[in-house]
Amino acid sequence: MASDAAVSQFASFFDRLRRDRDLPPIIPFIMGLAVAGSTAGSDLQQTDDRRPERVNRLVVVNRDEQNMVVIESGSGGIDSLMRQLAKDGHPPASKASIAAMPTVTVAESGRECPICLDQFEVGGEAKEMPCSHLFHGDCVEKWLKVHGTCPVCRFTMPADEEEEPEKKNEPGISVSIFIRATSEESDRIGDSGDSTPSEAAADDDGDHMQS
Amino acid sequence: MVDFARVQKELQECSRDIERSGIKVVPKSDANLACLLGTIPGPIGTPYEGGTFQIDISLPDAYPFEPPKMQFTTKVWHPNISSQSGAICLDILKDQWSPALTLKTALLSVQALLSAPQPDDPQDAVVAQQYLRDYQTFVGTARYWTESFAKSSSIGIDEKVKRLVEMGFPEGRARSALETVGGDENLALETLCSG
Repeated sequence: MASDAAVSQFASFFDRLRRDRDLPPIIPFIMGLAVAGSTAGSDLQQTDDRRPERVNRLVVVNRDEQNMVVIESGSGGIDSLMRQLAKDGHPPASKASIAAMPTVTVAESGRECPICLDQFEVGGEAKEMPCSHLFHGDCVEKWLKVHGTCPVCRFTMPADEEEEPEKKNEPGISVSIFIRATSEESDRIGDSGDSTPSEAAADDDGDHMQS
Repeated sequence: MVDFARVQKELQECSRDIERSGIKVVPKSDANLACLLGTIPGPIGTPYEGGTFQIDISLPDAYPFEPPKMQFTTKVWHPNISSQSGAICLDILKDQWSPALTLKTALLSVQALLSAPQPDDPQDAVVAQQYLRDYQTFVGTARYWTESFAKSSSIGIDEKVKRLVEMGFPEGRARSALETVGGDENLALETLCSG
């Protein structure tokens, strides 16, 4: 499906951006987070006949590098946009799967929790993941709430399913990167979406700050 | 808050094993265990052999639930390491981090990266391009950088730079001229005069 292709294209683009430029220098420069009205919906390919959806637009400005990234996504709200941005990480384990891990009593001495590296007390309690790896309950829960895989063997825990139906309705995401024209060099380094700098500038309804 | 109890254990474990692994991690100051300095030997049979590479390590507050930040402070010529900043492109230092990894295992992975460059997922595009298009030159440059920056005998280079500076050339230019000609002082001088 076209939207899947767009999402994966975006994901790989974002991955490159993250690897090449490292994310932390960019993130502090999120200067505007705008939810544009339905007029901007015409930019996006609407593959069904629903009324134009609200468009979420994230403007990330990196002042050091004099460039900015405009990320647009259709329905699903800012939350879903942010989730897609963090797509490369594994989703958290579902609450149910965390709660379902059995508590076991540690019988042998000398075993340690792979997360805090403290030894288990003999006769003490530990949580057992479905892959049979043991951890302190607090340690592993803290990890699974952000990242649903076993720290030792990367066994994947079930994730919450609520996002799944939403995915089908994603009209796609468009990303554009601009470099502010401070020199006569290129004024644009990459574009995986379909909007042009002038369009984006025209769409700028003042909700987000100019750099 | 960084789990300092765990960091202490890691440091002890690492120093117990230093003879075998060659991998060293020490705090930059006793006051702050979140800033550390790692050292890895260049893998044998690679252009990095014989070098000792220093890596700046800083631990985020959420460590070990977030990966340590690692960056080479020793200059290194490698497709997945920035020749400018020392930034490392390695998945386990990013989205593939797991809290069961430690500073030592992460540094072992960095060492393994030195043995097995991945030019298709580069950090330094120039180095990666050279690796793919002209492997022999890549090996030469990587070896030269190891000689110049990762060995205690790289004082030799500093001496040459000093002599060129005494002749009146700026240090940065003198050093880069030496780098481009592979350390030959006379050739470097020619380059500097013609440039």
